[in-house]
Amino acid sequence: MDFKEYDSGNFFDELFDNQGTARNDARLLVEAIERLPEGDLRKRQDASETAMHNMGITFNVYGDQAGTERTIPFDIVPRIINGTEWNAVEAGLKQRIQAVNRFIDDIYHRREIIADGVIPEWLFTSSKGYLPQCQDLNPPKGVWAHITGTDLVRDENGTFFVLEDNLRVPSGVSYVLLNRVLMKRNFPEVFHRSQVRRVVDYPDQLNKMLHYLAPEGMENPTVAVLTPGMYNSAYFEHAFLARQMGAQLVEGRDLVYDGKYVCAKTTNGLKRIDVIYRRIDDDFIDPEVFRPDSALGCRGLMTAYREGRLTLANAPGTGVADDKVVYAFVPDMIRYYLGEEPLLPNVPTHLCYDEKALEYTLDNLEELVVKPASESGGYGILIGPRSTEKERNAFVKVLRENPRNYISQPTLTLSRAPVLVDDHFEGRHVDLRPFILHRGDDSYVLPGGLTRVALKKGSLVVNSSQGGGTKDTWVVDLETGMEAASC
Amino acid sequence: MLSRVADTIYWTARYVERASNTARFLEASYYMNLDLTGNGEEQWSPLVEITGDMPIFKARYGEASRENVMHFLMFNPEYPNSIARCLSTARDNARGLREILPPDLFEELNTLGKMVPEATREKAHFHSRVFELCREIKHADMHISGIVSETMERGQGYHFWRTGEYLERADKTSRLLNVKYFYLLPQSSDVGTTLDDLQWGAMLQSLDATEIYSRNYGLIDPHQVIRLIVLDRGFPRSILFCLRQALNSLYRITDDLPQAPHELLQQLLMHIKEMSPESIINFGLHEFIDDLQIKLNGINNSIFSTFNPEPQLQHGE
Repeated sequence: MDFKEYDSGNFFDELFDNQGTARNDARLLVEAIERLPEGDLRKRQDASETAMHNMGITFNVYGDQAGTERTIPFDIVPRIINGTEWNAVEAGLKQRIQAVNRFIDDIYHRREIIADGVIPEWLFTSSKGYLPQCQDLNPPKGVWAHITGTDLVRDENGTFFVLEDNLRVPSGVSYVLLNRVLMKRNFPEVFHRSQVRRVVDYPDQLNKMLHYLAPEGMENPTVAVLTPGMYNSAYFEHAFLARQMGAQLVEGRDLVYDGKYVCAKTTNGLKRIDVIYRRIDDDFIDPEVFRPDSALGCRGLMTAYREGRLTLANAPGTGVADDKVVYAFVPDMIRYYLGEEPLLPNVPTHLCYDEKALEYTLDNLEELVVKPASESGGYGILIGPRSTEKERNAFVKVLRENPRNYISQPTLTLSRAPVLVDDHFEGRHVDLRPFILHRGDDSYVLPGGLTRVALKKGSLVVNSSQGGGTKDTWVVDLETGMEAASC
Repeated sequence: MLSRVADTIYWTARYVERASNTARFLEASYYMNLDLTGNGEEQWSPLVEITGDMPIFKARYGEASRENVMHFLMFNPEYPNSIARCLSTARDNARGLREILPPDLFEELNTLGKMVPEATREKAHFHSRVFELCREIKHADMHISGIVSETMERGQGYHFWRTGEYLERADKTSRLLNVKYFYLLPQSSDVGTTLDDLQWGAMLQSLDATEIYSRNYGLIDPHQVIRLIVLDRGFPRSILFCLRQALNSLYRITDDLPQAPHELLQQLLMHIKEMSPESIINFGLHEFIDDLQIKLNGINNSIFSTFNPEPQLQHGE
């Protein structure tokens, strides 16, 4: 099996340069794959997928027939990122999460950024994720967004751009960890020689952070992961993380507020919970404060939180900065709060609330990507170059009706990586979701993150709910490793 | 342990046990009836009678033919106590217990839950396939019990599993005994005949007790069969044995502190220990079993209320 026929096309390819030569960091891997007997890689790929099925690593698809389970397709060829390049991305992510946290804290307190005229007030009050109930909340250590899963893409030059911040309840980290387990099994030799940065300690890092964030004076806090339950598409991940951390996996119906603390109903009576890593949306966490019809949360939870007897990660209200219009201002936030220039660029964004931008968007629908400001999961997007006239006409209507709700961006030529298709390799578009744990004074960035790949030929949509798959992501320190070896 | 989790473990064990017991009955009855086909003495309705769900069966199928009974007990996706449904419920439960169950146990339950529906997709699923399924399910159940034994920490989770497993087994063993009540013997003079022996024999067979019985008691004698199935201290499917195991696990759950379900179970055990095959038959086998099942239901309800704390009792709202 070889890459001789592989055509990286006019794209930035993650493993090959535009001459079709394996990039330095990928050479060991490419050689190893080419040495495999014919059909061997396919066998490994199939075995890996079977392993995922048997382990029950499945997700439920919304809107699909109830109980439909699928595994996320896994591609056996890893994506490789150079360690030095990664260091720059990591620094950019840390900078960004710090600024965004300062912004959220500011918005729910004195709103200095508005007073200083950096962003307009209506911008956040019209953001779907803005929660007036969070005004003057003081989360432990002043951190709101503890766990973030920023989406990055690379353009035709290989430059990284931030596409979305995902500050609410990002998912996917369990796939990073499991893909890694499968890849270590498949390529132990290359893995070792490539000096791949480890991801295995993520649950430990998460656990430590959650302990660190416990309410003041709590020596041995009880940590729980709050899940909407087994029918949620990310349930596997909730259980996986709870298990890895040795935390309780609880549902809303397991919790009760006893007038002071949030407690779990156990076989030995009520047991106090100190830190909740919640994997349900803000709207659902407390029917007393947010959606009254929610059966997923716990009545009284926000009271315990407000009084400092419970920590929530992430804090409620972080969605205010997850809005795609607010996103456009993150570079300004970095300058404003940190007095630094952004290290990671945004994708150039036209805000349709601005009349000129709206007209520009309407005039160039065929070239642009139009996105609703507060949706996630790739829903409700128009990809201009791939759209039909009927779809575009529908967007003209919604854009005119509610311009605040939409942004447009140039259609990026996303980078590609080779995937195994039947018995050969083809290029497919990829993005990257690194995970950042932020505890205030320090942050941890998971090296690499989740590489999502649009498995349909030519597709730009990487979301697992829409036919995307995943790859393991290797951040390699080959050069330093080799130097060390030759010393 | 979370009350919900404890409850789910308990019911997962019960559903697996329920499915495998039904598989055992189905298999043994099939064998027995194979020997009776020639004489027109085949009897399938008792298998439905012992589920207590005859009205549901009648409404859906009408006649208690071999095919209908097999379909009802093995495949029917709408009947909550069919093997298919029990196993898929156990699988759904297991999916909600991911962070608790040993990975091997989860994988086994995950696979087992899909076994019957997958078999229906094969063309020739009847007769020989039903048979194979019965055996596979019985073996999977033993495998699961082994995984539980070898990999689960001896904490509350383990003991809720065992409590559920043994209470379900006690219940199902008693129902099996009840099958004799429903089997028709053409005349009372047929008692002690070959047909009668065949029926008792099939019952022992379904409990894997044929050899244990003949080693300890010799020829088939209804009194002795009742002794083995109800009162034997060493036979792992006897009612007495199951109830003792369940009580033992209940005590482990509460660190030896007796609570309401312990007391109910203790009373039931005392009651059974005082009985003999003769007194059971004098009391009426069918009546004895009915009474036992009512008491088991009471214990089941008491377990639920004991281990699901009502918050307002402790703090008020």
